[in-house]
Amino acid sequence: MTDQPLKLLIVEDTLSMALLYQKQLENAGYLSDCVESLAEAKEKQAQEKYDLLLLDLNLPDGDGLSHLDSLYGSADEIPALVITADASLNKAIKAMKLGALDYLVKPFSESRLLTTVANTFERIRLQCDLDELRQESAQGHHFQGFIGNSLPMQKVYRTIEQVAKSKATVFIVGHSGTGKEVCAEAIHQAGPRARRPFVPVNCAAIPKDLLESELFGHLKGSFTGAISDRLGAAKEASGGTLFLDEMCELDLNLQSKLLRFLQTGQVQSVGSHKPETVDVRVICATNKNPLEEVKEGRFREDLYFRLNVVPIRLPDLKDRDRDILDIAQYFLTKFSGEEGKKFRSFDTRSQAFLQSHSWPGNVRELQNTVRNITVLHDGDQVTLDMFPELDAIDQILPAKTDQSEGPVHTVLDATSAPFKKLSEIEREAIEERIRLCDGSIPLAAETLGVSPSTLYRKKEDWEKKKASLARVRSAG
Amino acid sequence: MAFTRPDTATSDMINHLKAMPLVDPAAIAALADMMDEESQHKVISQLIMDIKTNHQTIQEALVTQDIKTLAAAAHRFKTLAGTFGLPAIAAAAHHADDAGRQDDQAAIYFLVQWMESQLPEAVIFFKGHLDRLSSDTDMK
Repeated sequence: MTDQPLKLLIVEDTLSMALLYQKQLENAGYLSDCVESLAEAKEKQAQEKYDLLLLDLNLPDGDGLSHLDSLYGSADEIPALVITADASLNKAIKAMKLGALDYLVKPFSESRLLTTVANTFERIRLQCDLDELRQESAQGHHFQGFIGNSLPMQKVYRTIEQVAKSKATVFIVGHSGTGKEVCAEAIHQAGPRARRPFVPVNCAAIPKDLLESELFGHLKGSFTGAISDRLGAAKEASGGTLFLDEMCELDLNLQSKLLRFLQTGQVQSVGSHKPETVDVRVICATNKNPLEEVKEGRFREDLYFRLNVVPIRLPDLKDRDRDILDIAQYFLTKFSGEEGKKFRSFDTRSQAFLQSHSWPGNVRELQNTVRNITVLHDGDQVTLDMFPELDAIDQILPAKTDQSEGPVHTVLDATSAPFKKLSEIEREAIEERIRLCDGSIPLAAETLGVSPSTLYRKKEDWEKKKASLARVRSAG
Repeated sequence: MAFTRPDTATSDMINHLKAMPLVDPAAIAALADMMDEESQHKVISQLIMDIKTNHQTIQEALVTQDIKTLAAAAHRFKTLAGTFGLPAIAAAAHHADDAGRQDDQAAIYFLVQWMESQLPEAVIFFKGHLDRLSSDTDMK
């Protein structure tokens, strides 16, 4: 809203009435134009920008409701007040459902007109303020590389701020796509080491034989292919932060070397006999349950306790409330700019879907989904039919009774369902095992060699997906 | 279907309408308070044109007994007459609009017929107001 007078478009087929409204509005400081039909209204709206539409519902060339319907959600969307002489108010109620902000029943007094218009503009102004505050607030919700201000994330932010100043080792745990590297970098950036290097190493992405050299460096000729000296990540991060992602993928031999490094602060390059002291802060992360790994003997207990000085658990995206919309909007703006598209927002139904989907791949899945939409579609608003995941949800839900009753055959006879996803096959196998165990989840879990909590969590996820799809379908 | 005479309820309604004032002077006074003479001239001239246009439509529809057109005219006059201070015409239009919802075609016909009979006088009233506005301007 600016300081310029607000301008209305009056759409009223009885011109004497339109002129009267125009005069009444002019006396109150508003500008207005009058048109007598929907066709003229469309033409006028294409030529000029109006702040409010005062729309009679009964017009010679059509129903005002159809005009409202075509306006909302389009680029020409404009706030509207409807005028009706229908005392039953049916049409006014329909108009409100289509997005009209208020209605006036004819005949109405000057004061009624002006009060309703003033209230409507006040409501629009408040909505603008709210949108601005939300935008500012959303920008304020950027913490280092994170977006969002949900309660679980506020807790994470507080921990990051507190731990950033110290040199204590941090162990970040979270499922894939929850932002473990973003968290590690946030700790680095928020602390006194921000100007020094941040060196990330993905322990799962480097061949086991090369990892020691990657971490601690090597001397030329120390092994075949060592054609020159290599500093190693630990020394590269000197004065800064070494981030070891997928920590649980380290083999036991290297775990003991890492433990020694953490205890002494000294590294020994491959082929060297001389340990060197480095000042490095170590941050580790894993998408596994480290305690489970310790119990299974795949992760050294002493290393776990040495690393787990300050644990940070990153929440799954589905547990981050409104953050999902903020993050989706961030990606939409970013990718639309990159792809030269005009997407500005998500419509109501797609917002509902965003918030109800379980996002098993977390932020990474959301990011890919929004990227997919911006690449493959055009428009101002993202609508539900643009989402690539809907098909996948349809596939994992049992569409026919016989499918859910015969999972064993479906799993064994791969040719009968050649396009099934691994997750679908897994679900069918688990459900069949639970059925064979007379519905006992602990027994099914034992025979499957997993913990009961794993099965409970999977069942919960399936139910949520099913409910999400049902909501989306009922909204449609 | 020919509409020969109104039923008792419609006759009573019309008798009640006849007892109502055709114009409400307060409405014209409010117009004068709200706008300058030039604006009043513009609005009332347009009002006279709107009444005349609708009058002609009603006359034609009465001849052909086109009830749909008569009901639409009643709907229009309900607000036009209500807004510009023609209480008897507004009440007749209101009753005719209600009759339209009950599909009482005879009531629509006779109520709009009565309403039509009042329109020339309404036009004369507003023309008189325009004349007064012009003479006031001349005197100034």
